[in-house]
Amino acid sequence: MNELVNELVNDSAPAETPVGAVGADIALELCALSKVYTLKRGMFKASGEIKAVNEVSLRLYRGETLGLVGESGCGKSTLAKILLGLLEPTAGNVLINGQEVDPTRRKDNARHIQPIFQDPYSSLNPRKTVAEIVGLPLQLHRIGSAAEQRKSVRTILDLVGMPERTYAQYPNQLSGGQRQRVAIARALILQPDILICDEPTSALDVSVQAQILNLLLDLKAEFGLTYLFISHDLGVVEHLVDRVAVMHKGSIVELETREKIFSDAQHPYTRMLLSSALTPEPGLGLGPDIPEPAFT
Amino acid sequence: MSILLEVKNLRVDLPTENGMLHAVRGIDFQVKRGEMLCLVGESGCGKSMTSLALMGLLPRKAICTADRMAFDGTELLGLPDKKLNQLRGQRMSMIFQEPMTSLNPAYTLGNQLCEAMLEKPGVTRAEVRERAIYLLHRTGISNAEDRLRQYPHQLSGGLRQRVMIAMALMCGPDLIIADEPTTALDVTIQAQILRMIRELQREFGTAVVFITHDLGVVSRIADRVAVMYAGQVVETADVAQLFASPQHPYTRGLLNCIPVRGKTLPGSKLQAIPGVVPSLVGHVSGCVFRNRCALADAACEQDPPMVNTAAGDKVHYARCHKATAADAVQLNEAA
Amino acid sequence: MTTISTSSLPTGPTTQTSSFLQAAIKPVPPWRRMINRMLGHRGLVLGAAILAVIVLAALFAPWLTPHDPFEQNVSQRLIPPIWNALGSWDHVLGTDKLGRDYLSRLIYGARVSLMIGCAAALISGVIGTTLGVLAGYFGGRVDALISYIITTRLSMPVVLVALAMASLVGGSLKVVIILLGLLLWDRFAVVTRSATQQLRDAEFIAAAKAIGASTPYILVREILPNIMSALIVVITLEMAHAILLEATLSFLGLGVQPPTPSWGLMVSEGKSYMFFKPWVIVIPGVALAVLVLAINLVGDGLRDVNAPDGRN
Repeated sequence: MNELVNELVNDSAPAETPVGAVGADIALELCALSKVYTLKRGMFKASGEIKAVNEVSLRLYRGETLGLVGESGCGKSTLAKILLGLLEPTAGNVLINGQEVDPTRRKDNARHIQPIFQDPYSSLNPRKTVAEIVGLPLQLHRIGSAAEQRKSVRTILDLVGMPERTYAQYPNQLSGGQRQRVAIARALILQPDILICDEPTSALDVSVQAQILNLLLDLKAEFGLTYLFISHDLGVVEHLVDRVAVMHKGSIVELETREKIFSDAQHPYTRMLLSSALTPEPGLGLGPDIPEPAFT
Repeated sequence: MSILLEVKNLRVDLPTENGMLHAVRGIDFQVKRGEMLCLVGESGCGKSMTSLALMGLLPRKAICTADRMAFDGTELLGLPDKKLNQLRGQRMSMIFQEPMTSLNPAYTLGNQLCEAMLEKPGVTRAEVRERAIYLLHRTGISNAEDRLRQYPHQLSGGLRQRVMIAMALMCGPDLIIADEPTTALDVTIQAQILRMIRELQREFGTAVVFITHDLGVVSRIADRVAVMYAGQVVETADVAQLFASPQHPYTRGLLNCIPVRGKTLPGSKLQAIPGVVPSLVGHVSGCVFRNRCALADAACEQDPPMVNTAAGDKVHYARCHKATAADAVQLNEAA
Repeated sequence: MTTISTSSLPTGPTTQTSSFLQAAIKPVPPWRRMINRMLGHRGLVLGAAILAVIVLAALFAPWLTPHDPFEQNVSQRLIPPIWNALGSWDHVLGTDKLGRDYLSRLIYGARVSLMIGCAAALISGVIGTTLGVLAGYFGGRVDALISYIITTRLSMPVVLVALAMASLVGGSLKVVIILLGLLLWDRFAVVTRSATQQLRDAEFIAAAKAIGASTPYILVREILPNIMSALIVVITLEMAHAILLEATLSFLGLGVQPPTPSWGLMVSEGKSYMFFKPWVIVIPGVALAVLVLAINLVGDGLRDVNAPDGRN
């Protein structure tokens, strides 16, 4: 995978690292992306601001998996929504394959960037069959004849490991792991370059999670995909990614290669996150790094 | 240490549109005073049903039977509601998973904290209030006095869960049943809350049945572990023993499919457990794991016995035909 | 007044019980499950049976009626029905003041009631659903405007307004249908609005957007099918509402005009003989009550059946 030290200069990252390997192909680039919400505090008070995403700049190189970690409220989901065109950014630009795009023009961008969401129970329309769900993108973009579309649907469902008898079934007849496979099939049928995986295995059982993670690894190798992998599960992140970006309160506080982050993290928030991640190793107890319950 | 909670052959059945769902199929376990027992399993294994059965909170349609379900000698099944209510809240309490919905939004925190303890005969309001403030302080909530007047919606998830823990400790219970209390919380908050639960448990000598699906959490806080799969306990042992040498193929599979830094090679394929959990509706017999087990053969069509694989007076049970007993003594439990 | 529950919408399992059931129950397609549940609900089956009888009678009216409902025969006026000593099998339910056969008028009256009920419910359904879905999906100013319109409509006393309009324009079948259609959409709007709001943030809507689906597509093909269950309940209840309102208007002379047989009109025509010839008003009154009861049973039954798993 991508072992080049391709760090970028980030305004909010405390460690400045030189930009290297300019020749590397950049699949997705965010430039000072911001999303600011203004709160009205009543008629006579000044309105407040919440910076959900605070001038985030990031580069995603083709073929790499970039992990985005952080806790709830750090802005990673907001960032994902902006990239998918579900929210309009307040400032900043997004470049896909070197070209600036308007992320809200969904139809144009759909063929480059697709999501996989967290909740397998609500990410599929309960009133549509599996074949209809997976075939919808082709229909909307009018790709191929009806027969060709059916063939593409079969191919992709076969690829994600869904048996033929499930094609006419409804989501409530499938298990969580199967639903997630359908969601992956739907995301891939337009042959995008970039997949935004927003906690794709967090709602699944551990044994199913392993199957889905294996599937994601296989698909990435087969199609040369680029993943932005958002998760709070550091064990999974460590297994899957090349680089890690740590997000806290809307900004990226650290961005390093996987090895560096997990062996020698610099930012105190990253350290706290790492020490809170409980790996299944008995005898370690709850560790000295875990702070006393903070008086809040 | 004496045995506080003893459960033998607990069964929970739920009538559904498609037949009888056997949610819990004859589980046995014990909790000693002051120990932390973790019930670990994935979705559908019956661990939540077990906790609800213990507290008497099962849905009305559910049918619950057991050979024995005794709390400190008192048989819980068939106990009249009045006596059960006395036990619940005073000597047994429960912490639920969802901090956002387990507190009543219409009452203040002080009201909810003091509610259960005021039922106790002979306590004054002042005593109860003092204890509430003390416990809020112990669970790391600042301005405890002011908090008593606040409402749940004014607190974050982590704070609400701490209040729930304080509430569970109010009457000084002997047993706390915690059903995935930290699953809905952030990772850093989770670690802090777990540490607090462990410390408070040791300080007050409370026994805890901690239900979770997260093996990482189990490894760090448990004294003993019971692994559940498809309505049965398939393995039970001390925590170190379980992780060091798991005897049941399901436990082994579970431990193998978790990516651990230093153990699994990044980017490699994880050893997933093939197949899916079989349906528990209708008649279920034989070893329920056999459709996913590499070691399965014809013998597994029979219900597997519970075998003690540890030597001496140590205890490490595994429900498997392939598990070998350390000594020739086998405990044949009905599945 | 029955409350409509919008919790029949597809949301993820929120309780341990329901997620457990999700994991272990043998799967059936959603429509199959719905039919099974409907057949098991006694009230629903009863209401549907009664409704079916009335609908079939109305459909096959020309073949079922022994006489022409408009045929007057003054020598045969006010003959009592069969259970009275003076009744005859020629006129099973007797005759009215103009000698018209009552049974025939009753059956044809069913046509009027059902037609008005369906048409008015349809028109108001289209208006209300459109407003509700738009308000629920877009939120913000659109929602504020539509909510204002809904509130305005809710503050109007429907019967009085209907009376006033009818007296201005003159009563007739068409007028009644249009009037009721324009007045009864409020419950549709409220229910579809909250149902759409719940769905708006569901991940499959976000996924549809991410694929590049246009807003009209999402509204019609993704959201509408999923609020259908709540909508059907409202349709049945508003049908009953419309039927009763029409009866009221006709009773007051501002609805369907004579000689068209409408149950409300039949009651009005018989009110002077109320104490001497009670059957003239009792028969259409009972018919109205039975029809509205049947529709309400069906509506309640559908609402019960739509409650999601584990919450019955």
